Amino acid sequence: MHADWSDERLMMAYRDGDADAFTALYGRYRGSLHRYLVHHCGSPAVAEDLYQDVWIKVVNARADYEPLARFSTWLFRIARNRLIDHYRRQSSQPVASATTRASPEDDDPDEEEACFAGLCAPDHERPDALVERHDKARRISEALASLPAPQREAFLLAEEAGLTLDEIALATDSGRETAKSRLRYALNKLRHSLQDLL
Amino acid sequence: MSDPSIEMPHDPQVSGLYRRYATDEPSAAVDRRILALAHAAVSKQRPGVPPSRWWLRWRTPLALATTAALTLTLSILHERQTGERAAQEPVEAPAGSGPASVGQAARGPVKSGASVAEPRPLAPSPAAKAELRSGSPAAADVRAPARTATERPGEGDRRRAEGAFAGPAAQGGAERETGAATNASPAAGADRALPAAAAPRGLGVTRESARAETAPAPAPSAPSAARTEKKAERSPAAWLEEIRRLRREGQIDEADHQLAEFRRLNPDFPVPEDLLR
Repeated sequence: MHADWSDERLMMAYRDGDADAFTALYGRYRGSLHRYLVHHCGSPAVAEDLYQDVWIKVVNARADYEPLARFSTWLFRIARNRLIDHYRRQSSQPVASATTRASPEDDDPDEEEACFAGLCAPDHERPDALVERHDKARRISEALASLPAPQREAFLLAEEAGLTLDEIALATDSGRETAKSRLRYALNKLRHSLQDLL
Repeated sequence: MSDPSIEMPHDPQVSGLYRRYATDEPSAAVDRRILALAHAAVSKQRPGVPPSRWWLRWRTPLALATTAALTLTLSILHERQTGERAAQEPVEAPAGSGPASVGQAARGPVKSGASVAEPRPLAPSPAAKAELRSGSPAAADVRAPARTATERPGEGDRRRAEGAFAGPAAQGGAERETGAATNASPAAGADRALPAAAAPRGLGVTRESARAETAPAPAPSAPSAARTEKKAERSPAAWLEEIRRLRREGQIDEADHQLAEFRRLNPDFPVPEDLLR
Protein backbone atom coordinates (compact mmCIF):
# COMPACT_ATOMS: atom_id res chain seq x y z
CA MET A 1 0.00 0.00 0.00
CA HIS A 2 2.76 2.44 0.96
CA ALA A 3 5.23 1.29 -1.67
CA ASP A 4 4.24 3.83 -4.27
CA TRP A 5 3.76 6.67 -1.88
CA SER A 6 6.18 9.58 -1.91
CA ASP A 7 8.38 10.23 1.09
CA GLU A 8 6.45 13.35 1.93
CA ARG A 9 3.12 11.57 1.80
CA LEU A 10 4.43 8.83 4.04
CA MET A 11 5.69 11.35 6.56
CA MET A 12 2.37 13.18 6.58
CA ALA A 13 0.55 9.90 7.03
CA TYR A 14 2.80 9.12 9.95
CA ARG A 15 2.17 12.58 11.37
CA ASP A 16 -1.53 11.77 11.24
CA GLY A 17 -1.06 8.53 13.12
CA ASP A 18 -0.22 5.92 10.47
CA ALA A 19 2.62 3.93 12.04
CA ASP A 20 3.04 1.71 8.99
CA ALA A 21 3.89 4.75 6.92
CA PHE A 22 6.86 5.34 9.17
CA THR A 23 7.99 1.76 8.73
CA ALA A 24 7.98 2.22 4.97
CA LEU A 25 9.80 5.51 5.23
CA TYR A 26 12.36 4.09 7.60
CA GLY A 27 13.07 1.26 5.21
CA ARG A 28 13.88 3.70 2.45
CA TYR A 29 16.44 5.70 4.42
CA ARG A 30 17.88 3.40 7.01
CA GLY A 31 20.94 2.41 4.95
CA SER A 32 21.70 5.76 3.41
CA LEU A 33 21.34 7.68 6.64
CA HIS A 34 23.47 5.18 8.49
CA ARG A 35 26.22 5.35 5.87
CA TYR A 36 26.07 9.12 5.85
CA LEU A 37 26.70 9.17 9.57
CA VAL A 38 29.29 6.41 9.56
CA HIS A 39 31.33 8.04 6.82
CA HIS A 40 31.07 11.39 8.53
CA CYS A 41 32.06 10.50 12.05
CA GLY A 42 34.23 7.50 11.23
CA SER A 43 33.08 5.41 14.19
CA PRO A 44 30.27 2.86 13.68
CA ALA A 45 29.41 2.92 17.37
CA VAL A 46 29.10 6.68 17.49
CA ALA A 47 27.29 6.65 14.18
CA GLU A 48 24.72 4.25 15.56
CA ASP A 49 24.00 6.53 18.50
CA LEU A 50 23.66 9.50 16.21
CA TYR A 51 21.51 7.44 13.89
CA GLN A 52 19.04 6.69 16.66
CA ASP A 53 19.01 10.31 17.75
CA VAL A 54 18.18 11.46 14.26
CA TRP A 55 15.21 9.14 13.97
CA ILE A 56 13.99 10.09 17.42
CA LYS A 57 14.08 13.71 16.33
CA VAL A 58 12.07 12.79 13.25
CA VAL A 59 9.48 11.06 15.40
CA ASN A 60 9.25 13.94 17.84
CA ALA A 61 9.11 16.57 15.12
CA ARG A 62 6.34 14.88 13.18
CA ALA A 63 3.68 17.29 14.46
CA ASP A 64 5.48 20.24 12.89
CA TYR A 65 6.38 18.52 9.66
CA GLU A 66 5.21 20.31 6.55
CA PRO A 67 6.27 19.15 3.08
CA LEU A 68 8.00 22.41 2.23
CA ALA A 69 11.00 20.53 0.82
CA ARG A 70 11.84 16.95 0.02
CA PHE A 71 11.78 14.63 2.96
CA SER A 72 15.37 13.58 2.29
CA THR A 73 16.50 17.19 2.53
CA TRP A 74 14.75 17.55 5.85
CA LEU A 75 16.05 14.24 7.16
CA PHE A 76 19.68 14.82 6.24
CA ARG A 77 19.52 18.36 7.54
CA ILE A 78 18.50 16.93 10.90
CA ALA A 79 21.37 14.47 10.63
CA ARG A 80 23.81 17.22 9.79
CA ASN A 81 22.69 19.32 12.74
CA ARG A 82 23.05 16.31 14.97
CA LEU A 83 26.57 15.79 13.69
CA ILE A 84 27.44 19.41 14.38
CA ASP A 85 26.17 19.02 17.93
CA HIS A 86 28.25 15.89 18.28
CA TYR A 87 31.41 17.57 17.06
CA ARG A 88 30.84 20.52 19.31
CA ARG A 89 30.56 18.25 22.30
CA GLN A 90 33.56 16.21 21.33
CA SER A 91 35.53 19.26 20.30
CA SER A 92 36.58 17.11 17.45
CA GLN A 93 36.39 17.78 13.78
CA PRO A 94 34.36 20.97 13.51
CA VAL A 95 31.91 20.41 10.74
CA ALA A 96 30.15 23.69 11.36
CA SER A 97 33.29 25.76 11.02
CA ALA A 98 34.34 23.79 8.00
CA THR A 99 31.07 24.51 6.28
CA THR A 100 31.60 28.21 6.70
CA ARG A 101 34.46 28.20 4.28
CA ALA A 102 33.63 30.24 1.25
CA SER A 103 35.03 27.83 -1.31
CA PRO A 104 36.86 24.52 -1.49
CA GLU A 105 39.91 26.31 -2.85
CA ASP A 106 40.64 27.29 0.74
CA ASP A 107 41.54 23.69 1.54
CA ASP A 108 45.25 23.02 2.04
CA PRO A 109 46.42 21.08 -1.07
CA ASP A 110 49.62 19.77 0.56
CA GLU A 111 47.73 18.26 3.41
CA GLU A 112 45.24 16.65 1.07
CA GLU A 113 47.95 15.12 -1.08
CA ALA A 114 49.58 13.71 2.00
CA CYS A 115 46.29 12.07 2.89
CA PHE A 116 45.84 10.65 -0.57
CA ALA A 117 49.36 9.16 -0.51
CA GLY A 118 48.54 7.32 2.68
CA LEU A 119 45.28 5.94 1.32
CA CYS A 120 46.77 3.68 -1.30
CA ALA A 121 46.24 0.16 -0.12
CA PRO A 122 49.06 -2.42 -0.43
CA ASP A 123 48.55 -5.30 -2.81
CA HIS A 124 48.92 -8.02 -0.15
CA GLU A 125 45.56 -7.01 1.34
CA ARG A 126 43.52 -8.84 -1.34
CA PRO A 127 43.65 -12.54 -0.42
CA ASP A 128 40.14 -13.59 -1.45
CA ALA A 129 36.84 -12.15 -2.53
CA LEU A 130 35.48 -11.56 0.94
CA VAL A 131 38.57 -9.93 2.20
CA GLU A 132 38.81 -8.03 -1.03
CA ARG A 133 35.31 -6.73 -0.60
CA HIS A 134 35.95 -5.74 2.96
CA ASP A 135 39.13 -4.06 1.94
CA LYS A 136 37.51 -2.08 -0.81
CA ALA A 137 34.81 -0.92 1.54
CA ARG A 138 37.44 0.15 4.02
CA ARG A 139 39.36 2.01 1.35
CA ILE A 140 36.29 3.84 0.25
CA SER A 141 35.64 4.81 3.82
CA GLU A 142 39.16 6.02 4.23
CA ALA A 143 39.00 7.93 0.97
CA LEU A 144 35.89 9.61 2.16
CA ALA A 145 37.41 10.31 5.53
CA SER A 146 40.35 11.96 3.86
CA LEU A 147 38.11 14.49 2.15
CA PRO A 148 37.59 17.87 3.71
CA ALA A 149 34.34 17.85 5.62
CA PRO A 150 32.40 20.14 3.23
CA GLN A 151 33.41 18.05 0.23
CA ARG A 152 32.61 14.80 1.97
CA GLU A 153 29.28 16.18 3.02
CA ALA A 154 28.41 17.27 -0.51
CA PHE A 155 29.37 13.87 -1.89
CA LEU A 156 27.37 11.94 0.71
CA LEU A 157 24.32 14.13 0.31
CA ALA A 158 24.42 13.58 -3.42
CA GLU A 159 25.07 9.84 -3.25
CA GLU A 160 23.12 8.76 -0.18
CA ALA A 161 20.29 11.26 -0.05
CA GLY A 162 20.08 11.84 -3.78
CA LEU A 163 19.90 15.59 -3.33
CA THR A 164 20.33 18.03 -6.16
CA LEU A 165 22.76 20.92 -6.08
CA ASP A 166 20.11 23.28 -4.83
CA GLU A 167 19.08 20.87 -2.12
CA ILE A 168 22.67 20.31 -1.07
CA ALA A 169 23.13 24.05 -0.90
CA LEU A 170 20.00 24.33 1.20
CA ALA A 171 20.98 21.52 3.50
CA THR A 172 24.47 22.88 4.07
CA ASP A 173 23.55 26.56 4.27
CA SER A 174 25.74 27.40 1.34
CA GLY A 175 25.42 28.71 -2.18
CA ARG A 176 24.62 26.60 -5.17
CA GLU A 177 27.97 27.22 -6.85
CA THR A 178 29.79 26.43 -3.63
CA ALA A 179 27.99 23.14 -3.38
CA LYS A 180 28.77 22.39 -6.97
CA SER A 181 32.49 23.11 -6.48
CA ARG A 182 32.63 20.99 -3.35
CA LEU A 183 31.02 18.08 -5.11
CA ARG A 184 33.32 18.36 -8.09
CA TYR A 185 36.43 18.48 -5.91
CA ALA A 186 35.20 15.52 -3.89
CA LEU A 187 34.67 13.41 -6.99
CA ASN A 188 38.08 14.31 -8.38
CA LYS A 189 39.86 13.43 -5.15
CA LEU A 190 37.97 10.18 -4.76
CA ARG A 191 38.80 9.23 -8.33
CA HIS A 192 42.42 10.01 -7.63
CA SER A 193 42.57 8.04 -4.39
CA LEU A 194 40.55 5.08 -5.67
CA GLN A 195 42.09 5.00 -9.12
CA ASP A 196 43.28 1.39 -8.79
CA LEU A 197 39.76 0.20 -7.90
CA LEU A 198 38.04 1.82 -10.83
CA MET B 1 17.29 27.70 -16.44
CA SER B 2 19.77 24.95 -17.19
CA ASP B 3 19.07 21.31 -16.47
CA PRO B 4 20.23 20.43 -12.95
CA SER B 5 21.22 16.94 -14.04
CA ILE B 6 23.66 18.40 -16.60
CA GLU B 7 25.16 20.88 -14.16
CA MET B 8 25.46 18.31 -11.40
CA PRO B 9 29.03 17.04 -11.21
CA HIS B 10 28.88 13.33 -11.70
CA ASP B 11 31.41 10.52 -11.94
CA PRO B 12 29.64 7.25 -12.75
CA GLN B 13 32.71 5.11 -11.92
CA VAL B 14 33.22 6.64 -8.49
CA SER B 15 29.53 6.55 -7.73
CA GLY B 16 29.25 2.93 -8.87
CA LEU B 17 32.26 1.89 -6.78
CA TYR B 18 30.87 3.63 -3.76
CA ARG B 19 27.43 2.05 -4.08
CA ARG B 20 28.89 -1.39 -4.70
CA TYR B 21 31.05 -1.51 -1.62
CA ALA B 22 29.60 0.98 0.79
CA THR B 23 26.81 -1.19 2.12
CA ASP B 24 26.88 -0.42 5.81
CA GLU B 25 23.54 -0.74 7.50
CA PRO B 26 22.28 -0.32 11.03
CA SER B 27 21.89 -3.38 13.17
CA ALA B 28 18.56 -5.14 13.48
CA ALA B 29 18.42 -4.23 17.17
CA VAL B 30 18.62 -0.54 16.32
CA ASP B 31 15.92 -0.96 13.70
CA ARG B 32 13.61 -2.65 16.18
CA ARG B 33 14.25 0.00 18.81
CA ILE B 34 13.53 2.90 16.49
CA LEU B 35 10.42 1.32 14.98
CA ALA B 36 9.06 0.46 18.41
CA LEU B 37 9.58 4.02 19.54
CA ALA B 38 7.95 5.41 16.42
CA HIS B 39 4.94 3.12 16.76
CA ALA B 40 4.58 3.89 20.46
CA ALA B 41 4.62 7.60 19.70
CA VAL B 42 1.53 7.35 17.52
CA SER B 43 -0.25 4.61 19.47
CA LYS B 44 -1.80 7.17 21.82
CA GLN B 45 -2.67 9.38 18.91
CA ARG B 46 -5.98 8.88 17.15
CA PRO B 47 -5.53 7.89 13.49
CA GLY B 48 -5.99 10.77 11.12
CA VAL B 49 -5.61 13.38 13.83
CA PRO B 50 -2.32 15.25 14.01
CA PRO B 51 -0.77 15.49 17.46
CA SER B 52 -2.07 18.53 19.26
CA ARG B 53 0.11 21.47 19.95
CA TRP B 54 0.08 23.45 23.16
CA TRP B 55 -2.16 26.20 21.85
CA LEU B 56 -4.59 23.65 20.48
CA ARG B 57 -4.87 22.08 23.91
CA TRP B 58 -5.72 25.45 25.50
CA ARG B 59 -7.97 26.63 22.71
CA THR B 60 -11.25 25.24 24.05
CA PRO B 61 -10.80 26.32 27.69
CA LEU B 62 -9.78 29.81 26.59
CA ALA B 63 -12.77 30.07 24.27
CA LEU B 64 -15.13 28.97 27.04
CA ALA B 65 -13.62 31.38 29.54
CA THR B 66 -13.88 34.25 27.08
CA THR B 67 -17.49 33.42 26.29
CA ALA B 68 -18.37 33.24 29.97
CA ALA B 69 -16.71 36.57 30.67
CA LEU B 70 -18.47 38.20 27.74
CA THR B 71 -21.83 36.82 28.79
CA LEU B 72 -21.36 38.03 32.35
CA THR B 73 -20.36 41.49 31.19
CA LEU B 74 -23.35 41.77 28.88
CA SER B 75 -25.67 40.57 31.63
CA ILE B 76 -24.38 43.18 34.04
CA LEU B 77 -24.66 45.92 31.43
CA HIS B 78 -28.18 44.84 30.54
CA GLU B 79 -29.15 44.79 34.21
CA ARG B 80 -27.89 48.30 34.74
CA GLN B 81 -29.53 49.68 31.64
CA THR B 82 -32.83 48.10 32.56
CA GLY B 83 -32.66 49.57 36.03
CA GLU B 84 -31.90 53.03 34.72
CA ARG B 85 -34.69 52.78 32.18
CA ALA B 86 -37.11 51.72 34.88
CA ALA B 87 -36.02 54.64 36.98
CA GLN B 88 -36.70 57.03 34.12
CA GLU B 89 -40.02 55.52 33.14
CA PRO B 90 -42.09 57.02 35.98
CA VAL B 91 -41.09 60.46 34.80
CA GLU B 92 -42.02 59.76 31.23
CA ALA B 93 -45.12 57.76 31.95
CA PRO B 94 -47.63 60.51 32.61
CA ALA B 95 -46.95 62.08 29.26
CA GLY B 96 -48.71 59.28 27.46
CA SER B 97 -52.22 58.00 27.45
CA GLY B 98 -53.43 55.05 29.45
CA PRO B 99 -52.60 52.21 27.09
CA ALA B 100 -49.24 53.69 26.26
CA SER B 101 -48.42 53.84 29.90
CA VAL B 102 -49.52 50.31 30.27
CA GLY B 103 -47.17 49.36 27.50
CA GLN B 104 -44.36 51.05 29.30
CA ALA B 105 -45.23 49.20 32.42
CA ALA B 106 -45.16 46.03 30.45
CA ARG B 107 -41.67 46.84 29.28
CA GLY B 108 -40.46 46.93 32.83
CA PRO B 109 -38.43 43.97 34.01
CA VAL B 110 -40.24 41.14 35.62
CA LYS B 111 -38.94 40.85 39.12
CA SER B 112 -39.86 38.51 41.86
CA GLY B 113 -41.99 39.91 44.58
CA ALA B 114 -45.47 40.04 45.89
CA SER B 115 -46.42 43.60 45.17
CA VAL B 116 -48.79 43.60 42.27
CA ALA B 117 -49.90 47.15 41.95
CA GLU B 118 -47.30 49.01 43.88
CA PRO B 119 -47.69 52.68 43.14
CA ARG B 120 -45.22 54.12 40.78
CA PRO B 121 -44.53 57.71 41.66
CA LEU B 122 -44.56 60.23 38.89
CA ALA B 123 -41.39 61.80 40.14
CA PRO B 124 -39.51 59.48 42.41
CA SER B 125 -37.53 61.02 45.17
CA PRO B 126 -33.76 60.76 45.15
CA ALA B 127 -33.98 58.05 47.75
CA ALA B 128 -36.33 56.10 45.56
CA LYS B 129 -34.04 56.50 42.60
CA ALA B 130 -31.16 55.21 44.66
CA GLU B 131 -33.25 52.25 45.58
CA LEU B 132 -34.03 51.66 41.98
CA ARG B 133 -30.40 51.64 41.01
CA SER B 134 -29.35 49.54 43.92
CA GLY B 135 -31.84 46.93 42.91
CA SER B 136 -33.29 46.51 46.37
CA PRO B 137 -36.57 44.64 46.68
CA ALA B 138 -38.43 47.87 47.17
CA ALA B 139 -36.95 49.25 44.03
CA ALA B 140 -37.79 46.10 42.23
CA ASP B 141 -41.36 46.58 43.26
CA VAL B 142 -41.36 50.02 41.81
CA ARG B 143 -39.75 48.91 38.58
CA ALA B 144 -42.16 46.10 38.06
CA PRO B 145 -45.63 46.94 39.13
CA ALA B 146 -46.99 43.86 37.42
CA ARG B 147 -45.66 41.27 39.80
CA THR B 148 -48.25 38.66 39.16
CA ALA B 149 -46.42 35.52 39.99
CA THR B 150 -48.76 35.00 42.87
CA GLU B 151 -51.86 35.92 41.01
CA ARG B 152 -54.58 33.51 40.32
CA PRO B 153 -55.13 32.89 36.61
CA GLY B 154 -58.50 34.55 36.49
CA GLU B 155 -57.36 37.57 38.33
CA GLY B 156 -55.43 38.85 35.40
CA ASP B 157 -58.50 38.97 33.23
CA ARG B 158 -60.44 40.76 35.86
CA ARG B 159 -57.73 43.30 36.29
CA ARG B 160 -57.36 43.70 32.58
CA ALA B 161 -61.00 44.52 32.41
CA GLU B 162 -60.60 46.96 35.22
CA GLY B 163 -57.55 48.39 33.57
CA ALA B 164 -59.72 49.52 30.74
CA PHE B 165 -61.22 52.02 33.12
CA ALA B 166 -58.16 52.56 35.19
CA GLY B 167 -55.80 53.82 32.55
CA PRO B 168 -54.98 57.08 34.21
CA ALA B 169 -54.51 55.39 37.51
CA ALA B 170 -52.17 52.91 35.98
CA GLN B 171 -49.96 55.67 34.74
CA GLY B 172 -48.87 56.80 38.10
CA GLY B 173 -50.40 54.38 40.44
CA ALA B 174 -50.57 57.21 42.86
CA GLU B 175 -54.27 57.08 43.29
CA ARG B 176 -54.07 53.68 44.87
CA GLU B 177 -53.15 55.08 48.22
CA THR B 178 -55.74 57.76 48.12
CA GLY B 179 -58.47 55.14 48.06
CA ALA B 180 -61.59 54.76 46.03
CA ALA B 181 -63.44 57.39 47.90
CA THR B 182 -61.15 60.16 46.88
CA ASN B 183 -60.61 59.04 43.34
CA ALA B 184 -62.39 60.87 40.61
CA SER B 185 -62.89 57.73 38.62
CA PRO B 186 -65.73 55.70 40.02
CA ALA B 187 -64.62 52.57 38.32
CA ALA B 188 -61.28 52.56 39.98
CA GLY B 189 -61.05 50.16 42.86
CA ALA B 190 -58.29 49.05 45.08
CA ASP B 191 -56.63 47.29 42.20
CA ARG B 192 -57.32 49.86 39.60
CA ALA B 193 -53.72 50.92 39.46
CA LEU B 194 -52.83 47.60 37.96
CA PRO B 195 -51.83 48.16 34.37
CA ALA B 196 -53.82 46.30 31.86
CA ALA B 197 -50.73 44.46 30.74
CA ALA B 198 -49.87 43.33 34.19
CA ALA B 199 -52.06 40.30 34.20
CA PRO B 200 -50.84 38.77 30.94
CA ARG B 201 -47.26 39.36 31.88
CA GLY B 202 -47.80 37.86 35.26
CA LEU B 203 -49.22 34.83 33.61
CA GLY B 204 -46.06 34.28 31.70
CA VAL B 205 -46.80 36.18 28.54
CA THR B 206 -43.79 37.76 26.94
CA ARG B 207 -43.19 41.45 26.93
CA GLU B 208 -44.03 41.81 23.27
CA SER B 209 -47.23 39.85 23.56
CA ALA B 210 -48.21 41.88 26.57
CA ARG B 211 -47.62 45.01 24.57
CA ALA B 212 -49.59 43.68 21.67
CA GLU B 213 -52.36 42.63 23.96
CA THR B 214 -52.59 45.99 25.57
CA ALA B 215 -52.45 47.91 22.35
CA PRO B 216 -56.11 47.53 21.44
CA ALA B 217 -57.27 48.16 25.00
CA PRO B 218 -59.95 50.80 25.14
CA ALA B 219 -58.72 54.27 25.74
CA PRO B 220 -59.60 55.96 28.99
CA SER B 221 -62.37 58.43 29.07
CA ALA B 222 -61.49 61.70 27.47
CA PRO B 223 -61.92 63.93 30.54
CA SER B 224 -59.89 61.58 32.67
CA ALA B 225 -57.09 61.42 30.14
CA ALA B 226 -57.15 65.15 29.72
CA ARG B 227 -56.94 65.66 33.43
CA THR B 228 -54.05 63.29 33.75
CA GLU B 229 -52.28 64.99 30.93
CA LYS B 230 -52.94 68.27 32.55
CA LYS B 231 -51.48 67.04 35.80
CA ALA B 232 -48.43 65.86 34.04
CA GLU B 233 -47.87 69.08 32.21
CA ARG B 234 -48.52 71.61 34.88
CA SER B 235 -45.89 72.71 37.29
CA PRO B 236 -46.28 72.33 41.08
CA ALA B 237 -46.98 76.02 41.38
CA ALA B 238 -49.67 75.83 38.74
CA TRP B 239 -51.13 72.80 40.45
CA LEU B 240 -51.32 74.67 43.75
CA GLU B 241 -52.95 77.53 41.98
CA GLU B 242 -55.49 75.12 40.56
CA ILE B 243 -56.20 73.82 44.03
CA ARG B 244 -56.72 77.38 45.25
CA ARG B 245 -59.10 77.96 42.41
CA LEU B 246 -61.08 74.83 43.32
CA ARG B 247 -61.37 76.03 46.88
CA ARG B 248 -62.47 79.41 45.78
CA GLU B 249 -65.10 77.81 43.62
CA GLY B 250 -66.30 75.73 46.54
CA GLN B 251 -65.15 72.38 45.30
CA ILE B 252 -63.63 71.51 48.60
CA ASP B 253 -63.57 67.77 48.18
CA GLU B 254 -61.91 67.98 44.86
CA ALA B 255 -59.44 70.53 46.18
CA ASP B 256 -58.58 68.32 49.16
CA HIS B 257 -58.14 65.38 46.88
CA GLN B 258 -55.90 67.35 44.60
CA LEU B 259 -53.90 68.63 47.53
CA ALA B 260 -53.43 65.16 48.94
CA GLU B 261 -52.29 63.93 45.62
CA PHE B 262 -49.99 66.89 45.23
CA ARG B 263 -48.40 66.31 48.60
CA ARG B 264 -47.91 62.71 47.89
CA LEU B 265 -46.32 63.27 44.52
CA ASN B 266 -44.35 66.31 45.57
CA PRO B 267 -43.36 65.61 49.14
CA ASP B 268 -40.49 68.06 49.06
CA PHE B 269 -42.39 70.95 47.63
CA PRO B 270 -43.47 73.39 50.35
CA VAL B 271 -47.22 73.74 50.49
CA PRO B 272 -48.39 77.29 51.20
CA GLU B 273 -50.00 77.92 54.55
CA ASP B 274 -53.28 79.01 53.06
CA LEU B 275 -53.78 75.63 51.47
CA LEU B 276 -52.90 73.73 54.63
CA ARG B 277 -55.74 75.38 56.50
